[in-house]
Amino acid sequence: MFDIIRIVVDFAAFYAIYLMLSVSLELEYGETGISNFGKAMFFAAGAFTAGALVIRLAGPIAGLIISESELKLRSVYYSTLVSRYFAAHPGVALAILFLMLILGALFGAVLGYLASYPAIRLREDYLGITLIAASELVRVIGRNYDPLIGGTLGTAVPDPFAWLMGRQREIVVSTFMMIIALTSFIVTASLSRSPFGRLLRAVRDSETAAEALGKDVVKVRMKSLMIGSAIAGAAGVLYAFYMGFVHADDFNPIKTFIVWVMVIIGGSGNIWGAAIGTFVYLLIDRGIALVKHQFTLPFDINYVSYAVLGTLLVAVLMFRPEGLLPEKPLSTIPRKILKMRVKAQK
Amino acid sequence: MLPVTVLIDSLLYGNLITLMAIGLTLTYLTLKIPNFAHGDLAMVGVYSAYTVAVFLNINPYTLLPIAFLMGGLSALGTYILVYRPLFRKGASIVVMMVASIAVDIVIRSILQIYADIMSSTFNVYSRGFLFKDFSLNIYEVRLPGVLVISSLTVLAIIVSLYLFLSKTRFGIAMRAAIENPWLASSLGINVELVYGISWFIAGGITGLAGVFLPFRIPTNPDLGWLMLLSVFAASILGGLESLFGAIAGGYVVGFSEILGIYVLSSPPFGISTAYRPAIPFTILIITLLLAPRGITSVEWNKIATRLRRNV
Amino acid sequence: MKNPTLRGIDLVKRFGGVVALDGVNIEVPPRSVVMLIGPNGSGKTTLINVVSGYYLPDRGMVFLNGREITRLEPHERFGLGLVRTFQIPEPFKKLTVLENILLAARSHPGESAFKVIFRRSWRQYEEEIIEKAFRILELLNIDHIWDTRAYQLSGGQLKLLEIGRALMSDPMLLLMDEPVAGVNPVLAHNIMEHIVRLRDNLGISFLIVEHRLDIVLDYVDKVYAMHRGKIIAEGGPKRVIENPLVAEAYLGG
Ligand SMILES: Nc1ncnc2c1ncn2[C@@H]1O[C@H](COP(=O)(O)OP(=O)(O)OP(=O)(O)O)[C@@H](O)[C@H]1O
Ligand SMILES: [Mg+2]
Repeated sequence: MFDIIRIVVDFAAFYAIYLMLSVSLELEYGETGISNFGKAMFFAAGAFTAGALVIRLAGPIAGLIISESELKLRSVYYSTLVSRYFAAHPGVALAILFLMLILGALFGAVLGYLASYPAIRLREDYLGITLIAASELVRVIGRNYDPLIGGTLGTAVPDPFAWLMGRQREIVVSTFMMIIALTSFIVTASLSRSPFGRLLRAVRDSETAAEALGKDVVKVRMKSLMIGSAIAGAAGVLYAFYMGFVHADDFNPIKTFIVWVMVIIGGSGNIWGAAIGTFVYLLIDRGIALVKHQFTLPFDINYVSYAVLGTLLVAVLMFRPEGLLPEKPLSTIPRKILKMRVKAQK
Repeated sequence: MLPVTVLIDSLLYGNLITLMAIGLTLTYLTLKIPNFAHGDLAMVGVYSAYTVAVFLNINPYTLLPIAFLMGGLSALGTYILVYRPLFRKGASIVVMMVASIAVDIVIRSILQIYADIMSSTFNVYSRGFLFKDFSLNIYEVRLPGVLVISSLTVLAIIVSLYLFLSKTRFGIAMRAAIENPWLASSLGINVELVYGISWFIAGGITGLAGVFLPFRIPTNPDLGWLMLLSVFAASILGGLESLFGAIAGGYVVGFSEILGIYVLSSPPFGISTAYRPAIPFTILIITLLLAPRGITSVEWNKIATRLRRNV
Repeated sequence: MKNPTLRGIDLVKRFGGVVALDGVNIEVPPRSVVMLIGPNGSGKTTLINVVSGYYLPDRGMVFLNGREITRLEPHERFGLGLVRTFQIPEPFKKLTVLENILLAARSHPGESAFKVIFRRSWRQYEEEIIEKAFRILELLNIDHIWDTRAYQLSGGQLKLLEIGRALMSDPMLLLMDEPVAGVNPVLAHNIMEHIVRLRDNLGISFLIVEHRLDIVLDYVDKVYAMHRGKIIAEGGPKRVIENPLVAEAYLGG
């Protein structure tokens, strides 16, 4: 009935993508206190990068003549041909994959830099409105400006792992994605435990005091948004490759909301919270997706899962606002050593 | 020359945005949070009116009271169940905003499920529906009924809000509670009750706005969310804390959107009308960066003196 | 002659109709402890805010060692050696006492998003400032709560934390807004003695706002008295206290 390995592998892939998103929001909101309600936009930056560039870049390498006027209607066709070329040239495929990851992160960071302009000047409620609106605008552009990602039709994305087959391919893909995700997790976690992370938390807790102690609050928030958005951009690239398709409407505010659900349920201010929150969310979401084919309802069951998530989030905000794993004091030097030092003094 | 229909559409859209912006501003005045679930209240209004209209086969205009009631009750419900408890616990603005996004998602999902059941179980066309309208002919100009009725509604709402807030005891207590909750509660005003009533009225007005939508715009459960950007632009342009500002903002945004996209989509620009959300977004950004407290707060005197001094 | 460490010239600050500063001239000489007194609402905190860059004055200028700083951001003034504390403590609430203190360390390489990657570039500095932070905590008698988070501290402990951060920051000029309010007298005297030592050994200057004349007055070199946004008396501690205008300001309110 259920193909267990398939389920696990698919779960791992989604976990990798969402872990990167929730880790980036944890850095921005949990550590720095920036209410980034435009997460979907930075995620889209990466996905649009892959959607717009892979066929155009790899096509000529594969000896195809890509006609701009036909790209919109024939993206699936071109994509299949490029994938076939990738199947024979793993080196080129991987080079393109890494190039896209770098470009996606770069575009994410640039967008984060642009977004930091309002982010450092506006009150948090205005900032929330602005970022959510900006994110909807990016979606509208993606849907209507055909040359970008095929407008309302969307665009296909070639498979950089086409040189592998079947089960083996699935496992390698998910493992690759998990490695990228874990790398961003570890980097963010060690940032969080460093003097830099301490600085972020200081800005979050009191901008006034941080300024008095010589911290350039504007720059700190900008850096946090740029790092977070770079991670979100890279996640978007992985998402585009994994789905094999990019459509603008996929990057709606619900995506942003889901990431907030993960961070808040898990516990903001604690990076492990992001990891747990992502897991809990995906368990619910994938669980519903698995059982939804089992019976017929007079309505789309996805809406039930959204309604449940929304209610769950409100309940957590009310009854356990610190989340499953509350924030804990961190220290650059293990606390045990510090404790011993204090004892030795006495 | 602009065709008359463009002006009619602008005024109509201005009416709708104004109604919704009055509601949004009224809720913002109480708890000082931007309610991301506000647009959905209009959808609650329209779907309840539509349901009754379909099953009893009556004119939607007669169902405005039902839309008011359902919009108001939903707003009151979210206030009592979500925002008030969080506010009592001293939740931060960000937490309240996240909660309002959650409420938006829940209401929209429920409406989607409702629409699904309507069409699958009762065979009722539940997405993209339109209402039939009548029209008035005045001096060669055909005025759509919805323009007449919505304009009258806006007028009635403004007049009754004005009378309510300035002439009735309860209205005056309400203003006091909104302007200075601590002082008001020490004077024996039940601030939470006042806030609850504000939410009910705000939701009701927004519910009314919903009923006018399907006369022009094919309606589905996401429409309220999609209009929210324009409503926020209008409220923020009006300063977010002024009902008068919301009215002014509503018409500025309404007219800029319809006239703007008309001009931009015709030659020589020829831009797709799909980019219409860029107009309220631009208004929003410019307001926030230049006059973050809205047009009503701009200190024209100060600017004038500064200019004079610099010359 | 040498420039004064701090000089404020003709500072004016209005809030709507209230004139919080009404043409204030003030000087803090090098190596000195200057005290600023005045009844509630006389504009002392406003002066600190203008000098430290939190408010832009409506008129007048601020100089630090002869350099004009009227329009610099607070963090830029910190870079020049001007540090302040807050009358109402502004702790980093969720951080521990130790972390709060460490954040005041000057130009920490580990706070750069780039250098932080290379642990070796900041590790030693971090250890040094931890040592220094503990010495300050010991001085302030709060070393036993180094691991407590700031939101759990009492009002008095928060005041000490404010002082601790200021001492950690190696200032050249320290503006302290009611540093020993709510601190027990013995500790308050210790703190003042330490301040005098810092002045003598390191040449740091202080501008201290304080209502508790009984404790602080013995340690200061010069006093300014403010009333309704104006300096009404200045000079040696004794002379200012005995000035009838000052007594009148306090009594008349
Ligand atoms: N941000 C502000 N907005 C409006 N008025 C202010 C502001 N800050 C200070 N004031 C007013 O300026 C005047 C001076 O206040 P300030 O806080 O400087 O007094 P202070 O001497 O520090 O008093 P205290 O001894 O009580 O701390 C007061 O009338 C106060 O109400
Ligand atoms: Mg003061």
